[in-house]
Amino acid sequence: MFIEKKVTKKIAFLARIGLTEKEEEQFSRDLSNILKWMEELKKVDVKNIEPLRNVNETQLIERDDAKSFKNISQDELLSNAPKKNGKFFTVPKVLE
Amino acid sequence: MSNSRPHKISGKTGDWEIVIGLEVHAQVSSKLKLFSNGSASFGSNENENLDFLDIGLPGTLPTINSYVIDQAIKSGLALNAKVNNFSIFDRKNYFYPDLPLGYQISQYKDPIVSDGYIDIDINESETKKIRIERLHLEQDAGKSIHDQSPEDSFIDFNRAGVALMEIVSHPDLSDWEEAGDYVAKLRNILRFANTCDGNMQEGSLRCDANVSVRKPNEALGTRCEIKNLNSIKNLMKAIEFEAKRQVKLLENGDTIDQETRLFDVNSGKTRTMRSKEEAHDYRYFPDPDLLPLILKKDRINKIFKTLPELPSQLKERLKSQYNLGTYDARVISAELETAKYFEDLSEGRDAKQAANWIITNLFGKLNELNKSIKDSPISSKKLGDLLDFVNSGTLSNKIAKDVFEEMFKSSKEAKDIIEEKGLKQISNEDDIEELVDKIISENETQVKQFKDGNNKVLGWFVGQIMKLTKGQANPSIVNKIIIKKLNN
Amino acid sequence: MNDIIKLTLVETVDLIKTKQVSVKEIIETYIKRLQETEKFNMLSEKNYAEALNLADKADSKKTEDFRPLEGIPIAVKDIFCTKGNKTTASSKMLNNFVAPYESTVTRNLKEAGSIVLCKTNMDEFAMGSASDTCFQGEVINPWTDDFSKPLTPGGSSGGSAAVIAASGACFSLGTDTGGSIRQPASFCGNVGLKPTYGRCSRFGIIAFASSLDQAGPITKTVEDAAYALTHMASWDKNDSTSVNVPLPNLLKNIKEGVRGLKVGIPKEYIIDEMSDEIQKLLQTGSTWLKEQGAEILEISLPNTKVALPCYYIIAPAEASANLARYDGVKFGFRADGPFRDLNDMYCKTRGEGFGKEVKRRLLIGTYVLSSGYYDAYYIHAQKVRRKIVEDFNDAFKIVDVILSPTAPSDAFVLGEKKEDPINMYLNDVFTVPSSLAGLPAISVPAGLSNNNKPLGLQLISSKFTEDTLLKTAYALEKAASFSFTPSLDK
Repeated sequence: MFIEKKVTKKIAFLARIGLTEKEEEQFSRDLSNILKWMEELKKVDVKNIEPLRNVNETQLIERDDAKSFKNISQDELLSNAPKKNGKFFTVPKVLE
Repeated sequence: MSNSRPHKISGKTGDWEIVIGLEVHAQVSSKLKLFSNGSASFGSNENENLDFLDIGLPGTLPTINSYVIDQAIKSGLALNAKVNNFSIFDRKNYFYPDLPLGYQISQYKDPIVSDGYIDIDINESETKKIRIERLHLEQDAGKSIHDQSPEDSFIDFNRAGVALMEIVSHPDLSDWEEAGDYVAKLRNILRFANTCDGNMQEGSLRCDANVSVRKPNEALGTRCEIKNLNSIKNLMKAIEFEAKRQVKLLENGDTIDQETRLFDVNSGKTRTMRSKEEAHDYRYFPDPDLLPLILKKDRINKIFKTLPELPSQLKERLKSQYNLGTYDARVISAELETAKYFEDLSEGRDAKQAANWIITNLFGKLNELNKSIKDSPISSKKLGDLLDFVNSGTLSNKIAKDVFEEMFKSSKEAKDIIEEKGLKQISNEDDIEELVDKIISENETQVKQFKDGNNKVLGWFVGQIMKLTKGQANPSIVNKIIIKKLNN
Repeated sequence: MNDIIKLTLVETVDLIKTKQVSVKEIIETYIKRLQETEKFNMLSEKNYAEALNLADKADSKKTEDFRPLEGIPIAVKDIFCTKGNKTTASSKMLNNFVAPYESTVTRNLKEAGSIVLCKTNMDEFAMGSASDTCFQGEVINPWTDDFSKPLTPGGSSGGSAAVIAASGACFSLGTDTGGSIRQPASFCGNVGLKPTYGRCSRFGIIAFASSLDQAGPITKTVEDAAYALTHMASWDKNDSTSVNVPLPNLLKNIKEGVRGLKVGIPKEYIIDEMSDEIQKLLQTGSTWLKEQGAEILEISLPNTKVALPCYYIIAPAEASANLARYDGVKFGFRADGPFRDLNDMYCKTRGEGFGKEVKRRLLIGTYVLSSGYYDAYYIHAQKVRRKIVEDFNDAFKIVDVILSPTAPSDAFVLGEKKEDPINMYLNDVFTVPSSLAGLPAISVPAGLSNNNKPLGLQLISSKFTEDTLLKTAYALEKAASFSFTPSLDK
């Protein structure tokens, strides 16, 4: 299972992780090795087996749509913002 | 292009059919968001009313809103659909600044509702069934504002996490008018059910349209998606433009690129959406922070019992119970506000009369001024008072129409206008007799005509009395008395 | 003074309750100890000023108002959001992040009276088995003799385990996704407990792999672990995966003994690559329990071998989505501009903000979820996972607990396995299967290796039976009589 550099590049973009040339090479190698190791998994017979979603087969607990919720202040929410303008978070301009 | 429906687009090589599927995103009416305690209300200041999950703070987890589930069940039932007793929430992964988690919690393979339909009106007598493939719950994204600064886009997360119902139709729609009607009907049903306020200007209801064209009996063509259509008018214009654009390309021998496009309101054209050029691989997988949603039959049945009368049911009731014609029944049931107005107005009164006054008189004036019934200067109560004056004989129908005009202009009440202008209908028989005697004595020629067998001159006599009384005499009483007097 | 740090948690609680020592003295002693052991780079943040403040408050209380953990100093893995402190997950991405809210587990402990002394270093975003990917530098195992070849404390909860080995707190908090509490506990000579999945709330714990992450205590003794877990666990409506199953009384029968208990040893856990000393340790452990009246049975967990690749598909896949929120928009690190466009900002931020191991796992995770591979990898792994769960279900029909080594070796030298990810991943071979199945498991220090470094034995029990688990662990601990501590004056 050999992962080509161009596949690594595509995956890295999907994950929005910028890689240097060197990193692309190295991660391609790592990914190839790791995925080869995964081949063991393919040998397991999983016919008629349902994928496991949660280890505890319990039900979703629901929350009330009540009005009694204390608002979190804008300042608190923006306190860790890397870049802001007034009470807005800002990012480099997006062109649609 | 022919005027028959559905519209086809004629090109050099023949007629082309249009195939349209719509995805409608309807915000659920609820106090809090789908998976967090952030407020779901509209119009707050930016980044106010948020919960920690709404900006994706590390360590925060989703918890589901019970009422929103009920609203989705209710909507599914109102759309004649099947409510699934098992459904899963999945993560739809992509990067965008107004998506705080870097994924949207949505539903992929196992939605909460599937297989519904609504009927749209093709013409006066025919309906067409538009099948709804599914309705699922998902989080809304925040808002990105691009025009506040040259270098930056501004992000407001107020809307991030609000519950949306995504309603996906089968590609059963064949032209832009059907599409418009479908959205209007769908919106109306959700408003009647009180699960979505359908306010398109505020963004409570948005549409994406999938459009393709093909020659009759051929396989489906490549489709393009037009995103974020926020009015029915724009939806229809966008589809018409897009269908024609595709036909032009195909007739030139070009192929259609499957892509996402935006509708430019100013130019009336669709264009490629730049940021979506890279293919999206959403890498859906079940959200491990959530468990499957199991819905018991009891819960679904309980909600079914709370369903209010829906538009199609109201329409049928108007026809069967009140003998309204199909057209009138349709108009009254087409909008929630109209139905409510009618309900108030017809309480204790003749339903047909009420319907008539709404459709002919009220809508007549409202349409002139491009107003909706919400903004009517005459409330149902005020109009009701007017109808009561007519029904009690105080006003003739004709005078009532004049009063109505005045009420519309001045917002005054009927009784005040009647007082001011002394418009009470004259129904006192003695008073009318006096007037009739006068007219008869002054018009020997016409009397002789009547005696000679000319019955038509009766109308002339009635007209004279009406002129004398400025239309306020009760016409049937006038008629009765004139006949009596002339026959003597 | 030095005697205070030799005490167990339970003993310290007693001491405080009877006002034999002031809380201030306890806190001061432990602070001094942490100051003396800074060379092991265990801490990401010190909370000494607040700790002393809280100590004064505790001392002014009447004993009848004392809560169960009043005045107890704890070390908290820097993955738990604690209000007012930084919570960094040992990543550049969150290096200056201050959480505006408290995790449920630390809130429970604070409400029970504990005092957070410090936050501890870990593998970045909990991804690692050596605590060598920490943004603030590697953690050094206090059992290190030769500082030119420093040993790993294990990972990812290496800082928390090291603090207990160095006697720097009464107990510490860790999280375990594939072995991140148990393996460091084994390397550092501590007890490390991972409860049943869903026992402790995950609310406020920076997520790595949602279906696997679980908080747990690292302590000196088994009884301490029982006491700590009692005050950590709670059903939390803020965590949809938290379970509403009441915690059994963990202390009541902990000294009951194991007479009649059935202990299983999985034949698949005796791997060829296992060293002699580990094999011997396992045999010794089984003898200890047998001598106390337990019945030892051989069992089979047929899908053991594929548990590791299964884990290394599922965990990175979930992580790839859990870490997508670190995008430089709302909080955390953003790379320096100027940027060509938004995507450039994302790529630079995440390229620089994440370390190598994190990036490696995010790439794997993204790959196995991507179109064309989802069924072959992710779905397939989830099916194999079910088979692993069924293996354990079958085993627990005939035994009450399972015994195995915790790790395939003692603490290795830092950097030894860094460039070889798969070799690093093999560290988790004994701990991963019980993580996949969500089962409660504990590591108990059992002896010293040929290098005179600690070795641990692991016990696993069925879901929600932490009482059975802990009483068996207690019996094992009694027999092992592991009383070794590292000598720190080197």
